[in-house]
Amino acid sequence: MKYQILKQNWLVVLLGVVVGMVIFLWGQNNQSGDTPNAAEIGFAQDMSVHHQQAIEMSFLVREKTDNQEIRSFAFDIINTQANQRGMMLGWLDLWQQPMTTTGRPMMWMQVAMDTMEHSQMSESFTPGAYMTGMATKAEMDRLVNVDALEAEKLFLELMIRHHQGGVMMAEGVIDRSDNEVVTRLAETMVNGQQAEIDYMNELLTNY
Amino acid sequence: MKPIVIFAGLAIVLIVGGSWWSNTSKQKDFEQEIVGITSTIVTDRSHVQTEVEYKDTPPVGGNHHPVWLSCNGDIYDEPVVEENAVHSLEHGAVWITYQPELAAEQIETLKGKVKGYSFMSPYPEQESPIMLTAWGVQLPLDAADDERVDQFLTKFRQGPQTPEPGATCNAIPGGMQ
Repeated sequence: MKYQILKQNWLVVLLGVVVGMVIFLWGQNNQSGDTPNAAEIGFAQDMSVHHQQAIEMSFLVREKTDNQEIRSFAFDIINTQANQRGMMLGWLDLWQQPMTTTGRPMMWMQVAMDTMEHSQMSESFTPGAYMTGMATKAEMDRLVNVDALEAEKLFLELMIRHHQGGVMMAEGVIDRSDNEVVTRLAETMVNGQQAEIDYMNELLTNY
Repeated sequence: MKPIVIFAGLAIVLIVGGSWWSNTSKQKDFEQEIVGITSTIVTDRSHVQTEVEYKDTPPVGGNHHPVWLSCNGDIYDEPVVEENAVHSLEHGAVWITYQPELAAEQIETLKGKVKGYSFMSPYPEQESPIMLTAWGVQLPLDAADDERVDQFLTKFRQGPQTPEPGATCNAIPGGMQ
């Protein structure tokens, strides 16, 4: 009888250890961000669309102008933002989430939008644009149709606004995410695009 | 002992051992501490067309020229313009520099290490025979066969401290201004 109890205790301990290990390992896996929150998913989906337009604008201005400074800057944006798009789409792939949202864009930032100063909102949002900072169809058409000098100036103006919207969105996910991979990329977007806004403002003084 | 107990015990050993092994092997590549590295937090990163006064030799970051130096495994036999090189660091490149009097076979060994997201040039003013530099980090070395060369390249080519993840090391089409 005594022996019987001892043996059962051993089995219980063993079972406990196994269950403990399984829970521990499951927790370890989850730390790497296997289950994203709504803001992280929304950011990856919306920012990839946002980046795509910056890439398109950069290609358009490179077609229009021979100005090497503008062309170099546009080349930089094309490569950087295309690669960052790939990173974000890669997250969505690993998270088994759709690449695009069927809902309204930037819904995951709704709280911030509601409490945000109106002036701040209107600064980068254009009625008719898909998302804050983005250019409208009419503005994109103008970029194609104006002459080279006008296109350079319009590109800078549109891209400044585009980056302002991008910075705002990146700040939005930094406030709502604990995933280091997501917040690290978002922080580089805030700092990098802000530096580019300063650079573009300086370039604009030539026009 | 019953077979199930042995089996369960074995399973635990495999799970624990396996997870420990996979964690440490991951660390080997990415989180390894490299002895001798100095880190600096760089905040200036504007595009400027003027000469920049850098406080490190070679510079580890700061304001830079709008045009970056091609850093796709490029080997430069003459000193390069710092303001262009710093822009390449911003794009995630590792810059290998050496004193020109470094032995020829050492220079050859280093050249063999220069692949994507890295570039190499002589730097006469530096204090150490060899310097490895990425944005915000630097490592002085005496010999090209030091194992820390590979460790540094593994960790810092497009490393986590890169200010512009995804930026290219390809040359700008149309060349320099």
